[in-house]
Amino acid sequence: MGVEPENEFVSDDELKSLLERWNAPGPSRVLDKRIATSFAREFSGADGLSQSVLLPHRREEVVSMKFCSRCEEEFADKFSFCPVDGTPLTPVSAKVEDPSLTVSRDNDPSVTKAQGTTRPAVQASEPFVEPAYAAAGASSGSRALVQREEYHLTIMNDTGLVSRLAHELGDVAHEYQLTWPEFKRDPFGFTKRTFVGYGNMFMKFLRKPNVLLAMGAAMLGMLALVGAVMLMDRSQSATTSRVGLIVFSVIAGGLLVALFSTWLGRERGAAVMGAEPSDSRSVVAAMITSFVFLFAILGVIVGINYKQRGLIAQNNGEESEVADQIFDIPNEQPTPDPGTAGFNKGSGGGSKPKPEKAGGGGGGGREESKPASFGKLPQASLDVPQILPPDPKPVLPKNPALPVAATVVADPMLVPPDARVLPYGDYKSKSTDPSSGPGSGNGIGDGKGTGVGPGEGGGIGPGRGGNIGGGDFNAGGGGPGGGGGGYDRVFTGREVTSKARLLSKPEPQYTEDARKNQITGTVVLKVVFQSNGSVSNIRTVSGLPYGLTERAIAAARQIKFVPATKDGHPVSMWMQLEYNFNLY
Amino acid sequence: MPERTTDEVLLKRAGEGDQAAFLELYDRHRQPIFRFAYRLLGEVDIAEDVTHDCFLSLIRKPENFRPERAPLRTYLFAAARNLALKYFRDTGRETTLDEVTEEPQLSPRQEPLRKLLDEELAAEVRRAVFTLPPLQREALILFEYEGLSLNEIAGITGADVGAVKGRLYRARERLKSILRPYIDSGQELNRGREIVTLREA
Repeated sequence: MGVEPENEFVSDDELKSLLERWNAPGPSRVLDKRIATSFAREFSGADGLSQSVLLPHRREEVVSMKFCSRCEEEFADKFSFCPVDGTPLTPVSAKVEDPSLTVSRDNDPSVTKAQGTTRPAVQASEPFVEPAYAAAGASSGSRALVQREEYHLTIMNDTGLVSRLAHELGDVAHEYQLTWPEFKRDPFGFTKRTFVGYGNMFMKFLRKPNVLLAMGAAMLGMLALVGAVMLMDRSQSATTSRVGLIVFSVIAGGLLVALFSTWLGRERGAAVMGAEPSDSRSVVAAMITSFVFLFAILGVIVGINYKQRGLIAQNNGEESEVADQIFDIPNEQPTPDPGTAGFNKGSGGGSKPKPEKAGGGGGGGREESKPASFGKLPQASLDVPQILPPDPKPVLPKNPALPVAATVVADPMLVPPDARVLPYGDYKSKSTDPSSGPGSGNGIGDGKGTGVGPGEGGGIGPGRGGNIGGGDFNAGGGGPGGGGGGYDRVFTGREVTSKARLLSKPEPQYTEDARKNQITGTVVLKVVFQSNGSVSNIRTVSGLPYGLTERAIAAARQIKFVPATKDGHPVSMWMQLEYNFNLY
Repeated sequence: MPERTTDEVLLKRAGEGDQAAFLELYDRHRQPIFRFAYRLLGEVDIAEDVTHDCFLSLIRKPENFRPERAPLRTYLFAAARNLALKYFRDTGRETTLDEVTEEPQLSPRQEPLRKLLDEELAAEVRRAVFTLPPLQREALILFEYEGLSLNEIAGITGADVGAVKGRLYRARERLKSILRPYIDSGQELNRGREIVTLREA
């Protein structure tokens, strides 16, 4: 077809002259410069993407259209699902300008306001320039990006963070505004579609290669971390098993590392980390390093914790803490035969810790004709040597220089002190006439020796060599829990049910001399916290000069405490006190 | 007489990195392309963007231009047109009358009254052109303002000559009906301008 002017379509002169009134400005110098710069940049090695200025302020919308496969419509990028039928949308490449599409726009009243124009009959004919050719510049900048779906270029504009956030929020609000009518119209359907859509998207995500593998690895790592932390936490409360736990966790960590390094073969390890297969070696190395690093951190944390606890304990010690508090709870022990010895029927064999039958006995008498009279037994003791045997009719010297009480050689556990106001005598006798009995040796009874009864020795009852129970002497024992003497004796920390609890503990004062002589150190005292609340039997285990030990003892006497208990009874208890004397 | 370097040669040199050649090419075609884009889109900024991308596409996608099919000018017009249509599509709107705000400044050496009248008339014409649907508008602009042949327009728009004729016809009829009140005054203005020109001379 020729290019000659067709007369019937040469415009009216009038219209032409009128149209000429509308002058168009020329391109500005800014544009000239911009073109020159863009050209230079294009050839300076900079990526052409850096200035893809296809209508810059609309660029993101150019790139991002999404396509619904069901209703075959395109939607803006902000839609994840088709607003019409809820199908997940797929990103679509910028479409080539299709002539037929543009022709149809010709009659679109919403776009062009053209009313009543007739549709050209020739629209379907072959275009002179093929679409791809005609679209040359149109999509050159963006099409390449969109077609490669796995690579989305994000161009950050240099606006502030807040304004960008506001923009994003505005977009979200807008989206909700758009979907609200839809929701209002059909809430259930909309919710269902949303769930289905998101579910599909999630399943699609899961089906991607290595996603499950990576998630599993991440979960495993997290679980290992949490488990290790919990173990460490627990190990703080149980001190005895802590070392074992630490050793265990170290071994487990090493095993885990080994497991990972073997399990992650070259390709798989690389795939998990999303790296190229050629990087697999470094990936495995990186994983091992990270594990080692993780356990190193855990170790440091545990170490710091341990050290801190040590420091706390040390601080407490400086404040003269009662140090002898850590005992295991006593185990119950078998009771000795009931009623073998002594007067506490069914209450054991004696003071010794292990259950053992007591034995021995004693007797005496002052060779009187009358049988030994009834009376109470004197205080029994195995430790203190007997000085004065009991006598129903004691001869008391006036104003004695050293008053001494009569005793018998027997286990005090088996012979409880008798508080009755009675003369000494044989507790089995029915005679009330005061008499020491026909025996010999200054005791009471028929026997021989300084004891009470028919036996021989300083003990009580039949038998020999002191103590009580018959037969040869044997210091029996009931042991803790055996009740071998009731709750009167002094218990150790292992034996009591609950230990003595301190209420107030005055601090000892430095003496002037000690201060002058720069004396520092620790005074260790062994005391009995009596069941009645007093402190007695104070013994110095290790002392300090210049009156510091005395000060410590004085302070110990002022301790207020709740007595230890055993089976609900308040009992006396041995305690070791340490007083630290420091000069600062 | 050395002939003017052809567009194709310039483009080849530009493709090899010769900036001078590219700028020469740009200089040859920038006016019509920009004018076309401006008249199509109605805004200087967007027209500049379109022009920019249009020329840069020569460098980025040189394979899209095939000299054996059409001259460079046709290619550039087609590219500019597609960019403009893309803009319409992407913004999801047609430039409406209210949004046409910026008027190009005419030559300052004009009588104030004449200037005012000219501007008013130009605005009316512009408004009338913008009432046309895009395809009619582009045909009209290419034909009336850029003086392209029907064949060239057909090549640019991807329609055939008959379709272009139809669009042009409808566009003219529509414009005539809109601008009828101004046609006489336009002639008067023309006469007045001649007088002014004489005086200045």
